[in-house]
Amino acid sequence: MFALFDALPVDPAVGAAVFSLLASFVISVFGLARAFKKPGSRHVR
Amino acid sequence: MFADILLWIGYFAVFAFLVHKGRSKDAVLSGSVGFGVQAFAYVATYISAVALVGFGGLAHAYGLQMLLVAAGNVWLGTWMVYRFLAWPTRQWQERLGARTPAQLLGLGHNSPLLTRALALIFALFLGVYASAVLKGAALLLAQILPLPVWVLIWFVAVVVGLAVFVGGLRGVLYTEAMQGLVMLVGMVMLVGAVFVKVGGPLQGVAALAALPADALANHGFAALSGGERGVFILSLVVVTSVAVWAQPQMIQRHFAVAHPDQLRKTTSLAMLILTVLVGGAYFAAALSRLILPEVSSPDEVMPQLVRLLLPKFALQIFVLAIVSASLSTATAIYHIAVAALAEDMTGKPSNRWSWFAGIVVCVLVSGGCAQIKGQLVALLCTTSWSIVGATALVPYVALVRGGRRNAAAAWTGAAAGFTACLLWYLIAYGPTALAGPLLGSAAAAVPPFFAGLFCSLAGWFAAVALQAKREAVPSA
Repeated sequence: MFALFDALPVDPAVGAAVFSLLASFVISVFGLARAFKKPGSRHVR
Repeated sequence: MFADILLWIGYFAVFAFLVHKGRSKDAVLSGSVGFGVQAFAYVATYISAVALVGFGGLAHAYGLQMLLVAAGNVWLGTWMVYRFLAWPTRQWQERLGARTPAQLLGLGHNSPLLTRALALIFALFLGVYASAVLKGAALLLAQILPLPVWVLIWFVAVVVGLAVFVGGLRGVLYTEAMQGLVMLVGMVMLVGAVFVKVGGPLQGVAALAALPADALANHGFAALSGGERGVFILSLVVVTSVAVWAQPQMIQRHFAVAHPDQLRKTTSLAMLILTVLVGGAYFAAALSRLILPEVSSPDEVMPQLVRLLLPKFALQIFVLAIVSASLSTATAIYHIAVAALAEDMTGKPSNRWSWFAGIVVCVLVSGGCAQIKGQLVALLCTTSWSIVGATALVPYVALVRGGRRNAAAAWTGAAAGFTACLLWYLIAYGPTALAGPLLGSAAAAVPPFFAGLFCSLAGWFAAVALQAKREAVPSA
């Protein structure tokens, strides 16, 4: 992800905004997936 | 044409069904609702047509720095609210038996008079602010319906009034959830079309960064502006993301939380929707400078973009999305204003008649104000968000986060916040000062919400300090 920001021609403030929006997207998708995961559904060896 | 008509009939049929589904004996409280309804309703209430169309115009003018506003809305305006305020609000509401945000603050600070004072402010400012929302929806509908705007204003006012009367808060939440979904679909279509047109997001950003700077985006379109312009953007972040904490229509949504565990799903979903909706809207609008270098007015950016890029059927869906943004905000505002009139100000639980009477007053006031172009109406519409936020924020956060119950401090904080914010609008703030900014150019750039919040905090702590001093005197 940081490589992406090196490639983006934006200043640090706009970069921070883009980063936080991407982070929000990823965190919320994982958060939803985790919230819906049924307890005990994890594979146990 | 036939498909368009079917789309609109389908939309209003689902709207009517959800209003009917939500109806209950108690119009003020909704009872708990599922996390999906909560998340979509929160976002739909938060994001009005002004945020999508008006701020879209700003993103065209200022470029990618408007993404700071989107990030602020997601993290400060949603994550922090659900992380720190939503469940404590629900607990205090249950503990106090409060049915409205005004009652929460009045009962919380042991001052029934505070409930009435706040209800008066909420009813006045939100009732009149609803007129701007109604007018926005009517102007949009006028693009596709061959009716005069004044007729459409009354049509929208009556539809919103009926929804609040029949469905109560539960019906309002259901319809808002549906409207949030329509907004999301419309925005995803627009963002996709813009990405295709500019060759993808990365190429779009690179092309935008290569554009020469101008007066507003004075460091270019991929950077935060310097001087007053940059301060304006940062102040927009705070005003839209922090003042929302104490908007009564948002507080009321926390009353429907069923359990703290539910909030994990609600938070994630609300953040996801808001990221796509607002982040997508401002990103697409910023990139629109590559497609529409010149526009006649900032408010024309989104409509022109949609007309240029979307096929006719998709255009209808986008119009529905913007109408949804207006209607969802209007129903939320009406509910608070009607509850303030029918219950908070009378001091007793509302019944069907008082609820109906409150709705009639609200429809007449907001519909009537939307028909006139008065300076007072315009001022109330412009100032509503900041004044309500500056008045209620300190007493609200002190109660639900700090557990502080102090009538004198709540009164002083609310009165100082209200007065300072209003006066700042009237005499100091550049765009609204009646006789020009009287406190100099530096003060003219300070948003009134900041002045109101500062004075509200000062008022709260001054009252607490005074009380402590008085209590210390007899024992000395």
